[in-house]
Amino acid sequence: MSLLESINIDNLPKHIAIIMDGNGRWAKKQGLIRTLGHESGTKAVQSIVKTCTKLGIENITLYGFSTENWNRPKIEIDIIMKIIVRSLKNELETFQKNNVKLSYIGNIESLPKSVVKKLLEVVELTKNNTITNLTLALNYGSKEEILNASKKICCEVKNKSIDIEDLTEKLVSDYLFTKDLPDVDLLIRTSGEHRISNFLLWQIAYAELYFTDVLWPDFSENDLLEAIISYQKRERRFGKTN
Amino acid sequence: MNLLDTINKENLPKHLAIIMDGNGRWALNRGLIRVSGHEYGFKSVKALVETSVNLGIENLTLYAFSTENWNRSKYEVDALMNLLTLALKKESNKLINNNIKLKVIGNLEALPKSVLKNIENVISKTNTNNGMNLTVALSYGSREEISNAIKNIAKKVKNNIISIDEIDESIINEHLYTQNLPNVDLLIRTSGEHRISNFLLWQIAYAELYFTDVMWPDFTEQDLYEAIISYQKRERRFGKTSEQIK
Repeated sequence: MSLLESINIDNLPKHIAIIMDGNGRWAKKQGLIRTLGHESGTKAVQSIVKTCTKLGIENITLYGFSTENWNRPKIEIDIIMKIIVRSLKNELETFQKNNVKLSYIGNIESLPKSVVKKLLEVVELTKNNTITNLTLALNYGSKEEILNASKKICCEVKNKSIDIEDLTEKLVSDYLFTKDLPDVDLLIRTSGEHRISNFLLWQIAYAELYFTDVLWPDFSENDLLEAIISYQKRERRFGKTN
Repeated sequence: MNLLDTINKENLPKHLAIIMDGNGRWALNRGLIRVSGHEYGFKSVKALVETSVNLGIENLTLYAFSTENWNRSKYEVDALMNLLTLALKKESNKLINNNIKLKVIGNLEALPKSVLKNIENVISKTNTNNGMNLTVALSYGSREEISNAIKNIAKKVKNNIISIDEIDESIINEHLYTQNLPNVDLLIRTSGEHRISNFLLWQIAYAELYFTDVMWPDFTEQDLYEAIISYQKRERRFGKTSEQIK
């Protein structure tokens, strides 16, 4: 039986988030330079997005570049940015064909202009697509996101557009970059690291976490299906007893 | 070789946080009622605190009761509160003698008054201790903590005590229940569940996560050592490449 058949289509995660880790290590293992790992990583992105649209996953969020990644060597950052621009250009047709709506989270102002331009263009062109919301986290850090939300809320309180007593968890959610997305149901991290690395801290409060040793460029459709099957076997209790 | 000998004392997690899960299931597996699972779980807590003090862990934070746990049966909630009161009474001398400083995080207003009074009593008795910080999360939810912090910051902004430009990560830290505790280095969850369940979301941003199938009442000294050894083998990169941190 294929893995696909053992998936219960009525119990899919509504929101899958992925920390795509291990491009650099994958390249090193093959005796290649790190940036070639990122090139191969984009192929895994293509295949995963395709599988998500095929399954009908409504929301998928990918950690592309973190606020901490600016500390990497400049040459690696430059190449990552070039790969992002080229991938956006190349994928537009597939997004349209597969009804994928592209969005982003993060402080994109600090990204190179070429990236911002291409990104906004593809976001605009795909905004009416309806099957899968594909969100890219670019120059994203969850603490910065929460900090940013706090500042905006404080402004509104100061301007008297929000009353302090109305400041609820729901209101905080509405001021995050992810305001239009549901909470994360399934968080996947590849390459054997077991940590969250400042990704969607608020949004993963009740998420099921799935860690795999597979390096991101090797992450295949079957690996995604295995993660979803593992998710479907888990009992989510939200603080209650079973 | 003993597991303890393989631990590098120079590289201990500064802040160890634990989601103590599995008391109820442990009890049911033995044909006991859930509440006796919590009683056995308390024995594990005592052993763990002692081991942590001996190792020299500076900060230990335990998830005892979440904001969501109020949804459990009244019988179980009452029993947990009684157990907590009893534990505080019985253990306060040991906390004082071991130089442990007790701290409680969470929405404490929701707790029964009698429990709260006992807690405050022990907190004031251990207030001048400067050994390990033992923090117990009670009626705690991380989203509630963050919302509450923003609320308190917003009040200060409104009253011109803080300006909006001054708000940074350290201002947020100061307004969280955990205040001056350092970020979590190692988060352990027992009983085989792989999730965070609204615990210290902000504080675990870069924590190493360690999941074990052991049910909390069975969690021993050796299990703690194994978690710390696993932590010490990991490479923490904070966004950089492996080559950069070598």
